[in-house]
Amino acid sequence: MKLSESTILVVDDDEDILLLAKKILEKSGAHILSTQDVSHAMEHLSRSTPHLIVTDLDMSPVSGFDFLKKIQDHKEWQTIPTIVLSALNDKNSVFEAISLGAVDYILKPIKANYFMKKIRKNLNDQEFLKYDFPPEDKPQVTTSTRGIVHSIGEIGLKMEMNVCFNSRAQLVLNSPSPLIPGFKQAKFIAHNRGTPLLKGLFVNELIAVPAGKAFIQLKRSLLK
Amino acid sequence: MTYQYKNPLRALIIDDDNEFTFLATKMLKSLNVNLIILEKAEELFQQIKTFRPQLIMIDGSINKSHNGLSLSEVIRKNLNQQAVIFIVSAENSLEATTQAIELGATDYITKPLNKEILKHKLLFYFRNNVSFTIDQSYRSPSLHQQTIQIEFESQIESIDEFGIQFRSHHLIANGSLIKFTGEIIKSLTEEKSIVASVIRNSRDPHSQFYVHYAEYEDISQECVNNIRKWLSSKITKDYKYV
Repeated sequence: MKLSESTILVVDDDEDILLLAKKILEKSGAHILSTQDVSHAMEHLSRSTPHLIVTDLDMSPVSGFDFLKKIQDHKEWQTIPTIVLSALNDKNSVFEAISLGAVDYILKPIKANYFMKKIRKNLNDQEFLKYDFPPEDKPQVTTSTRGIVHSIGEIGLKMEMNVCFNSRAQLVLNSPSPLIPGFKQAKFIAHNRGTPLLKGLFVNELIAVPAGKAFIQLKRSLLK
Repeated sequence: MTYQYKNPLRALIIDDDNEFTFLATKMLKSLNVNLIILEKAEELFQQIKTFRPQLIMIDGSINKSHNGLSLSEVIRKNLNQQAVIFIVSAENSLEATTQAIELGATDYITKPLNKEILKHKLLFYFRNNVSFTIDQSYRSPSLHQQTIQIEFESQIESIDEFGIQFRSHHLIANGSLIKFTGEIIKSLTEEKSIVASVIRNSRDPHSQFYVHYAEYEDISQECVNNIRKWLSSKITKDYKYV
């Protein structure tokens, strides 16, 4: 995970530290969400899923420890790594924060280099989110791309485009712009397999099915 | 619509009837078939090995020692399992036909030969080797470059933070911009569609599909947030901090 592509949520009740952390992190191009209390942080989390959370511990009314607990209790937020940024340097606080799911513990005051190193390390360790659909439940989508009408025949047309259609492919042609007045869409079927013209460019022969009104309209406006 | 064979067919005829071979030669040559004619069965086995005919036409009663039917049986069992074997005979009876088919012949044709029937049978048996062309005259559109949007169906395999992996019957070149629309996209983001550019494509060796990976193109921060939110709702960590 690159720092410049990541979103980081920073929670601290001290405005100066919040500004400093924000300034350091924004230099590297990261997208920063910052807030001074936990309830706002929860609102941020319900709207988006950051790559990393940086939180203070000693806050009121809700402390950082409670915030860590809330993150762990929430199924969708468990996966987000959380770094603690705190002035508390006793053994018990560190132990409690780590046992509540914090992945790292940074002591205040912030030293820019050290802080960035920790952030970078935790982002690098993180795997990006990916969802594989189960084989029996792969969703169908309509994919569309653009092509150039090369020539028009009596019942079909030839298209130049960067897709090589398999023979018998069922397709729908749409007009993307008002260039072709009166034409909305027409159904086509790919005749033979597309033939390569140049690298990454294919000529596909498409036949209108049925060769009805829509195709005649398209033909008329293209051959005008 | 006209058709032609992608590779010329290789055919072999065994018949001692000169008139028949003359007629068959004429018909098959006009259909663009490479042809070898044998009068005796002796050379047959050698020719099958060297010429490797896709079609073998055997006279049902070629001579007394090598009956046409027994020849077809020998060819089918020992020499060529794939070849299409026609038994050609003047005898038009149910027994003769069933016997021929039982002994390994693909089809039974009665004499005299009819060109249309032969043409049709060849087209059927070698349909995998035929490419059709449509006879139509093409004209170029008046506006030289006329872009049109084309829609086709695909199947999503996986979604991640940076792109979509999907499978399609069609090969999409790297660098193509693809727009995705559908129910799943609606649940993923508030926008109706997602635009992505294909950066990888490969043929799935186990099926007829091509597998593509497309990276999101010109995507807003809000859309990224929505996708991450959707992903984290789908993925759960199988361990919990104690």
